[in-house]
Amino acid sequence: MAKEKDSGVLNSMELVRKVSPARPTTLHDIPDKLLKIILLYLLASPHWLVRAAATCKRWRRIVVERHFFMCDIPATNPSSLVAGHYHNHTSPVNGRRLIFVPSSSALAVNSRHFSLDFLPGGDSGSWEIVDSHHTLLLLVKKKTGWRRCFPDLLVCEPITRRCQLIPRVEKMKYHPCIGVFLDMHGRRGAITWNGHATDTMSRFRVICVLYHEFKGVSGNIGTAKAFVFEEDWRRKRGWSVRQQQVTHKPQIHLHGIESLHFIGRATFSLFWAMEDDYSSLLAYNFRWSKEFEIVPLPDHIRGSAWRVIDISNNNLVHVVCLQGDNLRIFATRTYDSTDWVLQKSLQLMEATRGLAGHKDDYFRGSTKIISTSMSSIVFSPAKETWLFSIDFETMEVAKCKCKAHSSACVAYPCELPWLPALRACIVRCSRSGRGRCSDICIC
Amino acid sequence: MATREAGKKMIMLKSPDGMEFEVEEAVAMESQTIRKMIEDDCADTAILIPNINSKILSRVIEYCNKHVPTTGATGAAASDTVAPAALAEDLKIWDAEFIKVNRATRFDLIQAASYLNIKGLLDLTSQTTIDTISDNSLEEIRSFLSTKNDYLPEEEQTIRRENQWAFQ
Repeated sequence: MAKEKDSGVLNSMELVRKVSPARPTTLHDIPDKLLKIILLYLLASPHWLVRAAATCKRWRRIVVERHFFMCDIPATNPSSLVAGHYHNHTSPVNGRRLIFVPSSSALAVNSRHFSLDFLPGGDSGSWEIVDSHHTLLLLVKKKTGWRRCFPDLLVCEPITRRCQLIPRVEKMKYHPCIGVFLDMHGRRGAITWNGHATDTMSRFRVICVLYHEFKGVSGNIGTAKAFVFEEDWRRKRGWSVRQQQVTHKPQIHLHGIESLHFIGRATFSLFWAMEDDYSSLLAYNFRWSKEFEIVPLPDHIRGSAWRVIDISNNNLVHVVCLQGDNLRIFATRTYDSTDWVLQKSLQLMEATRGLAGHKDDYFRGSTKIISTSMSSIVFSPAKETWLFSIDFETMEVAKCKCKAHSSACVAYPCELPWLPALRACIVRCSRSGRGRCSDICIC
Repeated sequence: MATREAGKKMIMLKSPDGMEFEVEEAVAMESQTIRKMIEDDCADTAILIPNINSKILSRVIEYCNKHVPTTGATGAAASDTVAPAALAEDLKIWDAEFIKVNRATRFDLIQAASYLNIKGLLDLTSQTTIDTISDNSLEEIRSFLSTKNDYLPEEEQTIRRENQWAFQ
């Protein structure tokens, strides 16, 4: 077939023969650039990424490269990272303890890696989970009435069995605590400027909202103050506390700590309902404005139970509003706008008719919201324990399996690390990843 | 010269070991590399595909032949009669069968898919390689992909220690 005139082609054929030896192709023949394209498929799971990095030096070098994670590929779906949920469980037999329920999805991570037996005191029963964020949990030491004074706080990462006690600040010792919350600097999967996965244990902060009662004023009127604990990165391993309060605005007057009910967080803000004012919410943005605000709600948003929810992959603030058995979900871009749009609405009595154990009587009284998550919300009639959940996406109603104490239904999701640390260097690396620091360094 | 046959433009592809393959232009254009050549009018005579031997090239053409009607001409006769979902399902089964090849062939296919820039084939071959990582232990991964463990025991221990959860 090949003709004489194709001598140029023949020459190049010779060339090709020379460079590709006649042995079976192996992974070593795949150039780095192409191997990188193949390994990009690992980004679907932190699990695979770790195992690939542990396979050999070449693979690790490629997956820790600075540009590897910056490739234009769809980001890992956060819900696929949730390994399971923690619950504060109370039972008459075993007393109080923390339990972990793995996600149904086959993540193939053994539940024993989520054991909390490493907590100080050795007994996870003395701690109560109050918040979770990515891979971290925020716990308070269970003391009767801990909300009355400043509690002992602890942040831990179950999967790496590390924990950090938050030092108590003396001047706040006797301030009642409205709530403590966990937040993380940067987004999920953030990497440092030199391309390394940042350590989650050094980039969290704890937001502590305290009630400050005015002195010499009757009726325990006071205001809210926020304090933030974070690691001071300028002084390594030091902890600092900052008071976040802008004082040029008139202080907000609140009527006692009992009048506030935490209803959720969304887009870097925390929200409380106030007993003495049903037409507005107390909001605190901990990321940007760092101020408390009273947010008036439009007249058509009224109800007996509220929740603010953060729906995954959605930058809107959603308010769930329950009036009688009428559930409505409103959304807005920023909470201080008046532009609230009705997104969904549902009559609970009608919608739950097909569920086992349904009684119309359940909905004659009021209905409670038991818990919320990124994807669903759990309800129960106020006077009965008959739990059902509603999915935000489909608005489908389902009977809730959990029938224990209602507090057990509050689930704290715990994720797998993203990005995982892929260090293999056995020496303490002085260049922290910016090139080799010694002959045996493989950073 | 490119020939015309029943209104379809044909392209000649040559492998370095001297084999020639005559394929429809639409099939050849599944490869972005060849598409560029055709669009830039560099493809008047037969196209030589360097460093892809005839065995691999024939498999690549087989893949492109199968995948051309769904990604190419929309509303073609084939897709009128079969529901798109069923067609996609059918393709999936075909792909799974197609990729049942030995390791060396799969790496050859990866390289060919990369050189010819055929996204579907690269996805398929890479995903199959990655699947071996997700289902097996480290030692099995290394033997399947014939990579050598060049870590010092201490180094491997460091990675394992920090990510114990990923190793059961």
